[in-house]
Amino acid sequence: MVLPADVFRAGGRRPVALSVLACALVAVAVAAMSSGAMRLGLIEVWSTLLGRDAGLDSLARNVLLDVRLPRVLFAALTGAALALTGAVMQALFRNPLAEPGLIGVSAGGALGAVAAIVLTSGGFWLLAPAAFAGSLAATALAYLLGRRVAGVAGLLLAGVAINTIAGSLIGLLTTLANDVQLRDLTFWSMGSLSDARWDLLVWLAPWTLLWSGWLLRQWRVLNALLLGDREAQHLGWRLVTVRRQLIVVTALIVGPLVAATGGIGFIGLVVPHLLRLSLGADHRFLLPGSMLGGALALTLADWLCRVVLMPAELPIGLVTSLVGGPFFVWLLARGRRL
Amino acid sequence: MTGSMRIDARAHPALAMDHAVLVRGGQRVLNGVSMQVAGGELVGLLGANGAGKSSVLGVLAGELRLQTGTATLYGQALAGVSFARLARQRAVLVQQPALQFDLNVAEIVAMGAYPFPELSATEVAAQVAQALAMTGLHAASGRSYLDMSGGEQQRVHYARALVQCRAGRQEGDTRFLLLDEPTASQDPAHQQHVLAVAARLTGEEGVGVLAVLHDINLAARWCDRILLLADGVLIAAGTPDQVLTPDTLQRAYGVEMAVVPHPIHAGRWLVMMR
Repeated sequence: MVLPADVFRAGGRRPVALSVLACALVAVAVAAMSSGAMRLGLIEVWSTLLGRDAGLDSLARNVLLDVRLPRVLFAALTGAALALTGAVMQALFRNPLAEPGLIGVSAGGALGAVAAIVLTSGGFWLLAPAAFAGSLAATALAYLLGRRVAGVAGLLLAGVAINTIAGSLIGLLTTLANDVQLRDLTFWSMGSLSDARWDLLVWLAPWTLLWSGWLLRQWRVLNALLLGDREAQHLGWRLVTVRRQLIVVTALIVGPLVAATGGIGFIGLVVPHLLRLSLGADHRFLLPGSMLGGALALTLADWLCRVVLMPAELPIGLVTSLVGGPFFVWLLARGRRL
Repeated sequence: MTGSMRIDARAHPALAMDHAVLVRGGQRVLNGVSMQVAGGELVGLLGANGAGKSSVLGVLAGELRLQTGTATLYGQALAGVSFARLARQRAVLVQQPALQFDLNVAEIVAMGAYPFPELSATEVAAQVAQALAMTGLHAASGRSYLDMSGGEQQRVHYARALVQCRAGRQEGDTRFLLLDEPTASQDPAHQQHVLAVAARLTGEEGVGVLAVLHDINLAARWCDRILLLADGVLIAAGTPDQVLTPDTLQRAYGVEMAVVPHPIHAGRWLVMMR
């Protein structure tokens, strides 16, 4: 079997691979927007999105433009951001197991959310702000603790410790929860994109894309970090600054997304590996590739969530882990380089 | 530091340290070392394990901060020079790292041009091609780093350092190349080649090279000057003929060595007595 890995390894073909990913993303997005409880034709969806009158009635237009389009955009945005920050964390920690959650941002967010659900009575509006605050607090704590040990190992260990502590506090709060709260927090932890609305997207999309754009421009230092801390320093970067910037920006990107979507696993871990197989480890191509690949993966996963058990909806975190887990095992079982 | 305080490179041509004292883990690893590397010279840094060679290199690379004494580039304290600016003035080669993710040779060598983002892709490609040719890796540019032998990997990083110290030549200042055991993983032919390339850089391009070396004969053959360290103290400095005597070598390494005429060329040959 010829994988994209073997075909696209040479440098000149990387732009082709990126274009293929972008086209696949558009195709999947249009297909996802056409399916659901109300079926819409692919042609009609495409024309309507391009601003032409495709003869859809006003209900169909509303479903497409106010429900499905923001949903697909939200999925693509979240997937792109998770995969991008995953690739960044893997470079920063020089560790194939790293993902955005490693610096505590996801566990902290979950702790904030669970605290909001359990400790406040019906304070559901508090959930997102509490999750965001939890994300940033946990990341800051991991960073400040980890900074005391030289090198990146301190940060790694601090992240693991913070994750463990947050996990046990979540467990503690769970035992205090009543049945309704228990159900709420179970669903939150499995992730959902059903929050997708234009009023969320209008600030979250520019925010996420702005910081993602900044991360895309860091491809040189991320490549240098692959060689080692000393080497990156010899090539002109002050490590303390680089680490702090990368971690802060990752938390700023992932924090609001965790708050808005709950736990969506595996995208940040698996997608960069998959893209590395086809594009190589050079971050100049890996970062945009991961964004496109993450967007594609989560759009696809969300489409599955919506249509598999229609009219019921599967939690998206369940699908990404259910598909991503075995896929990752298969990658490992191939026994080649990640 | 203001822009008007331009340092005159001709007045202070060197990467230097003066009365340097460095304490690491409670030990005085450098104890009052004064030395310098000027443009156009290949300086060998010799000494037993733990004598402080890598510490000298680390201080000159701007990584290690002295307790007392000064480390300067063109007379300006290294502590006040940003890593970004240092990276445009000097390249460093330490032992080859173990990569977690695979990169190909050209991608790694091209990193030498990262401190010079103003260079075009074509200029970078030209620099990479030259460095690969200089290190005998011209056929390897697309090869995967992780598939290479230790010696080849070391030469990949040597090529990267060559790009870094040659890419900004038009800026005019002297460039420096700091090499920590650049011949450690090389076979005898490549050991000669690595130092021949360094000698060419000093002669033709005015680069100042400091190389930590273990092979005394290699140092005698290629270096313009040799610095001999023992227990954090510089015990001898000068031309190979001045420094490499049975007496100094006894003090530096604690072994008895004899100096004999080289069987082929005019130089000298050092032989271990036992």
